[in-house]
Amino acid sequence: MQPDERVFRTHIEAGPFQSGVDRGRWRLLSIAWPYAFITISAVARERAPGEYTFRFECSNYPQTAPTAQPWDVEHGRPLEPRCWPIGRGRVQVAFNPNWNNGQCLYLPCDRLSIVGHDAWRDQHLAMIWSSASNITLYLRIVHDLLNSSDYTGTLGT
Amino acid sequence: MNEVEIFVQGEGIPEITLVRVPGNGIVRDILKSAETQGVRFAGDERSLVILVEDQEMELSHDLSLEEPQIGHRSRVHIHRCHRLEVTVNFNAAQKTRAFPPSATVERVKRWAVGPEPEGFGLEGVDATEHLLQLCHSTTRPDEDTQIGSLVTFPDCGLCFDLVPKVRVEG
Repeated sequence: MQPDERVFRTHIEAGPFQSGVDRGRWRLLSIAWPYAFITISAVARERAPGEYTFRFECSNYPQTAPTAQPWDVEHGRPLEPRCWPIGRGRVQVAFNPNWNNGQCLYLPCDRLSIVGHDAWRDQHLAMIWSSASNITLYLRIVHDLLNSSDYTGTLGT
Repeated sequence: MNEVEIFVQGEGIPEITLVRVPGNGIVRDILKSAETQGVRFAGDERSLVILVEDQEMELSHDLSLEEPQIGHRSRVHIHRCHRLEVTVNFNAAQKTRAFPPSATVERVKRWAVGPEPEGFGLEGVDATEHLLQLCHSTTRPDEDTQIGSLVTFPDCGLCFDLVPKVRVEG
């Protein structure tokens, strides 16, 4: 097992991740390194799922930030755009299937999205990944979005 | 022997720590187990107050883990402060109230956005679109964080600003 996977698995067993599991915020589905499939709960909305699964690409973790995309577990492929979460403001911006071909979330903690957004390092310091971060930084941000009043359901709703 | 897992937060414990103790043990065993996992308590054992999350009653160090107050996946807090004086600033107004150090940031926020005159009277969307940020910093502790984790004895006070969640743009 490579060091990045070893550190990731240690973080999954540690207090911050397990605390979220215990509160029903998220749960690990599986690991197929460098990918980890994690399901995050969402507040109830009409004709929308109560949770979404994300495929996190975690190579060189935690030196390098993960990148995540909504994932269709049943079919083993990226989630169709019509099934992505939507909202009016913050959620709409973060979950944009047109951004980077739907490969990542538009968030400062995402490895792909931070590229070219140097201003975010000052504007959104609390969402910036560092080598001292662990996966719960990303999970907390997504969980907050999916449980906000801004979240309204899915595109197909 | 069956083991129980306990989530531990407190003074000098930077992140939630999951400790394993014998199911037939006592509260003091939580301290010992935390120390074996690298937690360094600031005071001697007699100065440490142990509380269940969001509760006011201090646990005896000799309390059995088989008692109903505490069990598998319980959340406890270890601190030298018995109470924290919490101040929240919002729109040039200020509210202050005492909480146990085991109170979560989520509980403090619930009070702060709650009905006036105790809280600031934010409702619905307004309430969920704000969060607590430590005064004079950019630190926005997770709602899961027990507030004593943010304070070091003998300073048993804590100050937050209630700030809007910012949309990521650019």
